[in-house]
Amino acid sequence: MTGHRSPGRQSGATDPTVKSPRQSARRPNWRMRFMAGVMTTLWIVVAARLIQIQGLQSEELSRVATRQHQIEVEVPARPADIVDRNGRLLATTVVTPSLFVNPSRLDVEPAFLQRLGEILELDADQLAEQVQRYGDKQFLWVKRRLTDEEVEQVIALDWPDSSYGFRDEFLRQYPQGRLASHVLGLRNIDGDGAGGVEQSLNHLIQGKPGVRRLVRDAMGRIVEVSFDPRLEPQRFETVQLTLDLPVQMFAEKALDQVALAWKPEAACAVVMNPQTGEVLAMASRPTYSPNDLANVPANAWRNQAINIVYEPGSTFKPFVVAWALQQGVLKPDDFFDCEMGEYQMGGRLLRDHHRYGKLSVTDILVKSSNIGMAKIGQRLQNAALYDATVTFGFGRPTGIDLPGELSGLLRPLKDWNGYSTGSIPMGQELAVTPLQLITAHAALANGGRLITPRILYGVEGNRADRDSLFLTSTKDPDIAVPATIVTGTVPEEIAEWVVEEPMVQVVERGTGHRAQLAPWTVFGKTGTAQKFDPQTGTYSETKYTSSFICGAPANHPKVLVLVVVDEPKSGETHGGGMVAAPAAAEILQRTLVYLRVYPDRDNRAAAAIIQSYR
Amino acid sequence: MFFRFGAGLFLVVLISLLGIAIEKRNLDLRRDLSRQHYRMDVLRDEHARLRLKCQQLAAVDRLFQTVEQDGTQLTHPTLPVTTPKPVDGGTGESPSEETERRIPLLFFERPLADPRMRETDE
Repeated sequence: MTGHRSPGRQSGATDPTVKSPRQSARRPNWRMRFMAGVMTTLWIVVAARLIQIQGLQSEELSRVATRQHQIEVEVPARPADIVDRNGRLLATTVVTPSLFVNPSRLDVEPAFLQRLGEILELDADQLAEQVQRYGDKQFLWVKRRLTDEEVEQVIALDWPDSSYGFRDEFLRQYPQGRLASHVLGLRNIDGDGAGGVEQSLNHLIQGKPGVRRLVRDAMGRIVEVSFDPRLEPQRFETVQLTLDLPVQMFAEKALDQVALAWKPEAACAVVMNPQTGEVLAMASRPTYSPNDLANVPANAWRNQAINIVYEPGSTFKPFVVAWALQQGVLKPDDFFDCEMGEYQMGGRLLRDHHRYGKLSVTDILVKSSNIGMAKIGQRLQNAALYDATVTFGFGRPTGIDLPGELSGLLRPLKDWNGYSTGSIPMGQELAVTPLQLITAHAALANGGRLITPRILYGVEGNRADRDSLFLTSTKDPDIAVPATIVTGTVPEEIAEWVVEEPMVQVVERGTGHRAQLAPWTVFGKTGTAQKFDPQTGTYSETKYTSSFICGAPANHPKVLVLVVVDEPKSGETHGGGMVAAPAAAEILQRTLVYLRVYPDRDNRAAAAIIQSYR
Repeated sequence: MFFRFGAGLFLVVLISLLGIAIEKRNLDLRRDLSRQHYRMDVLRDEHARLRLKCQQLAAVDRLFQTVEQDGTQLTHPTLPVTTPKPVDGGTGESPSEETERRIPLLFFERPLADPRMRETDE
């Protein structure tokens, strides 16, 4: 940028066209400054913009950008499978497509809807009317939970893609059919539990939905699904019940035979492990299949083991005897005069089925003498009788994890009178559920411990909030079990005596002799209770509730079975020993063989029984 | 001068290409991960379906019905005609004895705490 000096002008005269070195240096400096100023300004603008974008507006812009390329969808938690104690599947969930249409974009011929109606077995006219009514909407369910064949046929209709779609939904399936249907319950179309453990353990089964982030490109296409373990659905893999399916099936089959032979209004059977309170089987008649809900009789929904109450009759007597022994008002070798079948107790005439003279305590239970029991009741008096009923858990729900459990009927002590002193020891004036009764008998069978019956064996899976569900952790970090509540009733020696003496004798030579099993010492008690007739206000002479409770082996009971038959109609007799005992014995025998309970009497007889099953 | 400029340019391009390659690889891996999660979902659904089918076919009611109607097969299964024989003499137990169906042993649970059971054993 330096100026060139002209060779022809070397005099001292000054040429106005020639710039001095100072002048020529001044112009480039001005340009440079200008350029530097421009560049600096530009850089300042850029930097300011950067500060604005990255600093001041960063959060808002990040949100906008995220919204543009990322969407979040809720992922429902797959309901946990329900399995029995050995892992056999009772309920599971599969994914099935449901069909929806976009009525605003649906422009189809009536014949088309006719064809759709035929495929999906829907009323085509009703479908057309719905499409027309919701013509301005963008979503309308057509049919939920389609079969694979239906999906294929709908796709074959070749609709425009924008007018319909499938959305995956969960479908609950029960592979064991009607087995344990009352215990399991159902899940409704919205996936909520309705009845059974599906309802009561819904908090364990349903789980909590998660969130999944989808990344999409400029065209809106999903290009990435982001998986964040912290946002995945929270669920248990399996909820394990205490039920044992083969035992459940023995109970169901036995009830089928009872229904066939006696044509009762209803019947139920409960099988329990008296040492742990675990319910091995719980069956009711009438019943239904959860996979076929179209033809369910109205009275089939009720779980007869917990949703009905009845007067226990003679099956209640062992508790009174045990309590009298515990109170010290009775000794095992006491004798009572049973008045040859008729006893005037206050203003009431009590009768026995047969005329008995002096009977021991054991024989009172063996012969099921009402008069003998009334006399034991007189020794106890009402307050102690009331204590006995409360101590053995009557008058309140047992606390099993099943919905709708009734508490039974136990009037307050102040409402009891002289009649009660005679009635309560016979199992009248109070009503119990079958589950209450077997739970109380389990307390006698296990040495006096009243254990809350359990249907939940445990849960498996890693759900974050597991510790808040009142579950106890086990050695396996994946498995948690519910806590067990135990309360005392009578001393162990008294409970053992009642079970191993009078209740064994009931089966050996008393009303429960049809429940004898050669290989095992069986204990039991029959019950035949007249039903109260609300029309006449008295006990009916024709309607009975027949029941039988039994267990084995008597020295260390492993299995307890209760069968209750409501209003047996066919046949001349209605006694619990005749109606319910054979069914209970059948369930007991099959269960003992299945559980390989060592015979305490005759090993060969056990082998013969097993061979007969083959 | 040119060498320096060229080397600098080459480095810049190289780093850019490397960055692009890493970014592409990252996207590929994320896409694979998404696909694998999707496949896992599909497999879970399929597993549930097959488990359901399996349990339906092996339902307790169904199995017992078969046993009660037809009886348990306690006869020997038909053995193949050419049963391989042990070359070195083996244990002396014939292959047919090894493969024949045996009646299961009756393993009863023995209550050890019960003194009467111990007496019986003695």
